Amino acid sequence: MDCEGWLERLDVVLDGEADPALAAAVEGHLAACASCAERAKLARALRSTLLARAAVETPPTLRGRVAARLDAEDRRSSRGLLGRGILIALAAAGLVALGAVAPGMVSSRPPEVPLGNPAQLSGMLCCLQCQLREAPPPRGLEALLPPLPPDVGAHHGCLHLRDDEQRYWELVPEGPEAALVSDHALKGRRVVVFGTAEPDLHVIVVARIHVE
Amino acid sequence: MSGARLNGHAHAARRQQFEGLLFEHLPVMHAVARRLTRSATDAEDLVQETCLRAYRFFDGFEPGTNFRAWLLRILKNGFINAWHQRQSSPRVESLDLSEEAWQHHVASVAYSPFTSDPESELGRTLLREDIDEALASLPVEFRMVVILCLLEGFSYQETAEVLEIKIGTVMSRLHRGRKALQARLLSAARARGFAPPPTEA
Repeated sequence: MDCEGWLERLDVVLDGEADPALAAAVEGHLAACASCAERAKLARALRSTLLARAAVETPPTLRGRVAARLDAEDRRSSRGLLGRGILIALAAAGLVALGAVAPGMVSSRPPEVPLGNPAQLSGMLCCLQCQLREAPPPRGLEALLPPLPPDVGAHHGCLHLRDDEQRYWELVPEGPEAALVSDHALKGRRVVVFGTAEPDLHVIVVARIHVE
Repeated sequence: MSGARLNGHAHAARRQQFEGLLFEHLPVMHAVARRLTRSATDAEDLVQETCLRAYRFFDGFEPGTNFRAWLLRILKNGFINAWHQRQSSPRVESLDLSEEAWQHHVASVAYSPFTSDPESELGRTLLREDIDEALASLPVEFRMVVILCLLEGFSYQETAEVLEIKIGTVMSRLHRGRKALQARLLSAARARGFAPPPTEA
């Protein structure tokens, strides 16, 4: 075996994947070959420097935040258990039950509007966490959306609800198809939200936002 | 009503079981996410997103199989879907991983008069940024293998499970990714004064 071959095997040894016989054979070669011993020293030095320098600290708050996210998910799915779905969710969001119908709202009970297979949209849309980040209108999306009144300007973007995340999760229906989940006024904008949960549970929300 | 209460209990038990499995893996999930996204905020988002998906999909997890690999597979998919396509990532072809390039490189360092203690010398010269840059220069397929095997100490087998590739593919990507990484790190170290240029034979 040539020296390159030995050094390659040294990597396997250092990875902890070599059996003792191979490890011993590698050590044997290194003891006999000065140039390999030199390069082995360098390889080990690079490895340990890499490990030492690349260490990543876990933020102490991470665990708590994950738990909070799971709490929100639990609340969302326990509402689902009640079997009243989106209507309950909208009521909880104050859009239906309290009569607090926002000026821009066109329907209190969102119709289920199938928009086709959301997998076609995946990757083209941002998720809710982007806060109105401008995104180019997803190609092909136009054809999937139901027609909007002519006075509604179409602007595609993401709807930031992070400070209201609970409502966000409540609004997004389960299921393979995107549905209209709300049409209401928010901070002076008319917001039409379509939501879905992809099969891999990447939630997509498309908002058409009309700036008054 | 008792049905609803039973559901509630079952739900709480499921949550408890999930958390019992999940929390010990948060550090490795976070470390991998941080290295993939190169951003503290994105890393945390990716971890949260992964936990949520895993929780919703928990019923699909086969008890007795590798939970950590399952989590990281979800994380990997989430990264590919949501982050990777927004980032400009080096393409596989952009990396000169040819044998000749590597041979040329090692020839230039192999016989140069190294210090007697390359480890502490490298430790002094290489910075965290050098390592981040070197990692980021790897195409994502290689980066994932290097991160899991080399930085996180995953076995070849577990890495194969996470990335859903064959173990032979793990080994060949690791081999080439490691070479490329070493080459980048050595040239960064050299730019910072480690190891004098090779003497002409």
